[in-house]
This record gives sequence, structure tokens and C-alpha cells, in this order.
Amino acid sequence: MSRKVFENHHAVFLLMTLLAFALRAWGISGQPPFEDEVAIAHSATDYMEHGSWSLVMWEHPQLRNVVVYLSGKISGGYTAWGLRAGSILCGSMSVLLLGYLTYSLFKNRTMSYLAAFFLCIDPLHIALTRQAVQEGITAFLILAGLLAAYHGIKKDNISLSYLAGALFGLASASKWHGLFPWAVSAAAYVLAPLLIQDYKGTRNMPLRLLNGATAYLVIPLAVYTAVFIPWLDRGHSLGEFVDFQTYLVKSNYLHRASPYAETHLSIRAYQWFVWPTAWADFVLYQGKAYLDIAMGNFLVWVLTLPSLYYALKRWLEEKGFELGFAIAVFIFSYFPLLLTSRSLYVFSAPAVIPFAFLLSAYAISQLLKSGAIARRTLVIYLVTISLVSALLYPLSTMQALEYSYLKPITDLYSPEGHDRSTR
Amino acid sequence: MGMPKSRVQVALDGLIIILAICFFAFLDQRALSARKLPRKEAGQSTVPAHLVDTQQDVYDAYQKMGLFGARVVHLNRFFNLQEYVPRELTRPDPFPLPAVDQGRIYERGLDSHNWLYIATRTGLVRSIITVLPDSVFRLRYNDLRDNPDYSHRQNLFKGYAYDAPRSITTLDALHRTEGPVVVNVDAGYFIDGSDPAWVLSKLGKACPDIRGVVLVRSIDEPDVDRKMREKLDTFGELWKGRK
Repeated sequence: MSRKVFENHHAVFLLMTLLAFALRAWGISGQPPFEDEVAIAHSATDYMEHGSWSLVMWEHPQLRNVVVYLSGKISGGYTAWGLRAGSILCGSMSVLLLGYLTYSLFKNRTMSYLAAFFLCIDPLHIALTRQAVQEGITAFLILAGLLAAYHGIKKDNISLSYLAGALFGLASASKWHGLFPWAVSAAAYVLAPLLIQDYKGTRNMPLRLLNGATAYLVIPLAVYTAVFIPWLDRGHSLGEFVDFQTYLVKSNYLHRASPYAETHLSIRAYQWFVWPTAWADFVLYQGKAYLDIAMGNFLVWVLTLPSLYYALKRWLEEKGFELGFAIAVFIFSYFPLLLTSRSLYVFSAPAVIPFAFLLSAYAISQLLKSGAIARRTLVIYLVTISLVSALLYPLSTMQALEYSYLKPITDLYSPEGHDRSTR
Repeated sequence: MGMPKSRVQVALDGLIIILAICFFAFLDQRALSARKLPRKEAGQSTVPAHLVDTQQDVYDAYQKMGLFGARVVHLNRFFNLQEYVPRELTRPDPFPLPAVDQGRIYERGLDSHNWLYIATRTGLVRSIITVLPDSVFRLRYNDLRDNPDYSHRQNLFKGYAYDAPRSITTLDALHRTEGPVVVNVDAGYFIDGSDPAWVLSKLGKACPDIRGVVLVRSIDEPDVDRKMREKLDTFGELWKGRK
């Protein structure tokens, strides 16, 4: 019975998504709101009903306000669910999408199960998708866009390419991390006949360019702009909108979090896959202190760079489109963050780690297939990372201060006496 | 026999592009329609000026004018854009979090230093051109030039007050501003002893479509003296008599 389930990837992805949902939803009503989340609730209502620009995380586009507002309306108010349902659902569904994306690319069940599982139990992803912030929403929309983009390219299906463009427009309207996979997908679409061996599409290059411009330029721009309708309804012309976007880019580049974040937390993306890094949020709520530490499972994250090296080596030998696409998405999602001189905090990682996990899953499954690693070793590894994630789980659910074994970590990150952070 | 597939796809792309262009044009037109400023009556060459006592009273004057999404030309030595974040918007309330009308919360904190900032938050004002007295502009010049939030060219600085585009300049350097504006003239603007007639003439050339004027006596500013208020009164008389 269990073998039958294991061989049915739809069933496995569904089970993992349910597990992801449980991890992200458990105890959510007991998790007090951060200062940022309180401001987000107000911002969502004010943006959608009056077009007033967000007070919090204001240098980002405003899709988060739309999502939080809608989930508040559906839930009958900004209860814990009303505030966070969008993020929780996006975080859970990201596991499903990563599974399907990996399976679509490589037709390998083990690989797709591994990638989805890594994301499912990742404590950083769990922490950030339990909050009403845009990180989980962005990653979800990017994954959905990539899935549509890949199938649109392989099946030469223009409707799927239009859908991909719309999803990338939405992803970028949540956070500009969406721009990078968008660019990779657009390039892959236009160059598909050159990149894919035995490509079966029938469009010639001029038609391809026209289709590509419609799917990957016109549609995403229209969708991106549509998210700003409440703000435009304040009398701002499209010219003012364009100028404002330029200013937001500049502000984003100059953005700094609190002095605590700048001095105590990781501010460089190169550190993410080299040593454990974290983001910390603190709240004093009804007389009790709560500390939330968003920290990845380093036993998984540390595989990223070696896996990238391995994948690159394999791609140079085989030149397969799917592997090249996966590598390109990771590189173009991560490397701009490496190169920027502005402070970059690890809460930006959700837009990158799905592809890190995909590459790690690729490397592991290939090494398993070649016999370089034994099945038993993989099982021990999976049990170990599950245990680590379980032990770190209280960090992600604002219960870090309640477990004495976490004291070495909480002592490192407790911002007592420091300025509160804003993102 | 049906159309070749490629022709169908070209037609579909063309349709999407046309729809997108229409969508953008619709958004732009909708934005222009959303703006609310006083209309000039037929045969009326100038609009009446509102006289208020303090800077924060300008906010009430704007509400009486029914402003929404207005561009403001603000003659004062102060920016009146002091950032104000109501405590209610960040206080960790228990669930369910309240979703109150922020406009009311902001207005409760209105004072003479933040009224213009609050006006941008509540939507009365969408963009600001601050015209400083020459002496004040020179004092602030270096700080503005070194501030990465502003771009500048000669005597004009451009930036944002949150999401509201703003410029900072002097009356001499004020560029022609097309489109309707509301003008505030604060008594404190006359700190350099500028001639009210000259100020009116410059304003008239730079702002051909003035839909509202608010004159501010700033009785709550100790540095604003009787002479400055007399100049403001003179400006008001000249404005009334303007053809």
C-alpha cells in the first residue's frame, strides 16, 4: 500500500502539502502579532479602501496588502487567520508547486519528493509563511510562474506562456525578486528552438518574439500596474507611477533595517549557504516576551553550493535544457543578491531556496542513481534533517524562549535592549 | 479552411496589446478624473483666498474646498511634512486586529508641523512643490544636496514625501507648472522681506491655473512678526484685485 502511494507522485505531493500546511498553521491563533503585522493590517485596509501607501515595508510593491485585505475579508476580520491565511496557504502550496516543477523538469519522483520535502520542513520558510509578510507570497507566485512557463515552452502552448507572464507580474508586484525568474523564462521562451534538442514548436522567430513580448512584457506589465490601482485612484497619473517606481528602486537599494539588524544579524547573501544565518523578531505582548527566529535547516542549505557545482558539471557534459533552466533560475535569483552592496537579510531567501533545494535534490538523486551514495545514507540524512527541523520548530512559532535547549540560539539573537527591527 | 495558426496567434497578440494600451489609457484617465479641486466659475479670473490663523488650519481649509489628489504649491519657510505615525498603527493589540479608518486616526494627531504630511496620507494632497524663502533655501541647500533621497539640478530638488512627489525650490527657480494647483502662502514666507507684488507676479507666471489660495497668518509661530503678516495681508489684497 505504502509503495503504491510512494509511486503516485500526486498523492505524495498532496500529503506533503498537508504536512506543510499543518506545520505552518499549527498554533497560529496563539502566535501574537508583530508590530509589523499590526501595521500591515492597517496598511492593507487603508491601501485597498483609500489607496494610502503602506507604512510598513513601504519600499516594496503592494500585492501583500491586497492578499492580507482579501484574507481578512474572507475571515471576517483580522483574526490570526484573517491576517496570515494568505501567507500560510501560499507557503503550503509552494511545496506542491516545487514538487510539480521538479517532476515536470526531470520526471524523477525521488528528486521531486526531496525538493518538496526540503521546503516543507524548512524552519525559515515555516517562520516567514506563518507571518503576514510578502516573502511566502512572492515565492509561491514565482514557482507558479515557472511551472506555467516551463510547460508553455515545452508544449509550445501560448496560453500557458500568457499565464506565466501574468504570474510573474503578480510575483514582481509582491517583491521584485519576481523579476529574475521572469527574465530567465522570457529568454528561455524566445530561445527555445536553439536551446531544446528536437524542439517541436512551429513558431518562427518573428512570431516567437511577438508572442514573447505579449506574454512576458505586455501582460506582466499590465498585471503589475493593476495591483497599484488603489494608489492610482488617488489621482496619480501613469507618468507619476513610473517616476515613483524609479524612486522605490532607489529607496530599496538604500534601505537599512534597524541598528540591531545591521549589527547582529546577517546582512550578506553570500553567508546563507556557508554558515547558519537568521532573522529575528521580538514582541512584548500582554506582558510576555516572544522571540521568533527565522533560521534555515543548515544541514539542507549547506548542500546548495556543492550541488550547484555538481549540476553545472553535469550540464556542461549533457547540455540538457531542463537542467540548464533550473541552474539559470537559481543563479539569476541568487547572484544579483550576492552582488548588491545594500544590506540583504536572510528573510529574502524564500525567493531563492526553492531552487537551491531543487538543485540539492537533483544532486542527491543522481548520486543515489549512480551508487555514489547508498539508500541507507539518504534515509539517515532525511531522519537527521527532520529531527533538526523538529528541534528548531519552536524558533519558527515564537516559542523560542520556552525551551531551555534553545537558549544558546536565543541568547545569540535576543534583541533585548536593542532597537526593534522593521523590514 | 480556417486561418493559419500563426495568423490567429498574431491576431491574438495584437488584440492583447491593444487591450493593454486601452487599459493603461483608462487608468491614466481615471486618475485624472479622481482629482478634486475647486472649479473656477464662468467669468471668474481668480478664486477667493481663504485666510486661516495657523498652519494646521490649512488642513481644514482643504477639507472645506473638497480637495482630493491636489497638487500644492507651498510658500513657507517650513515643510510642514513632519512624519507622524499614530501609535494605534503599531500597538500590538490582541486579535482580531482593528481595521479602523486611518484618516480619522491621523487627523487626531494634526498639528502645525505635520499637517501637510497628514494631508498626503489622507489623500487631500498628492504632490507638493515647496517654495522656500531664498535665505532658508541657502541654509538647507547643503543638507538637501547631500541627501540621497533627492535629485537636484541648480536650485531645484526633487524627491518624495513617502509616496507624494515633492520639489523644493525658490520662487525665482520655480518652473512653470501646468495643470491645476492650490497655493498656500504663509506669513513666514516673507522672512526675507520679499515684495508681495513680486511674489504674486512670479506665482501667476509659474502657475497659470490656480484653483485655491490659502493665506496663513501663523499666529502660533513666535518668529512670524507683524511686518510679515502685513505683507501677507498685502498679498491677499493684491490677489483679490487680480484680473
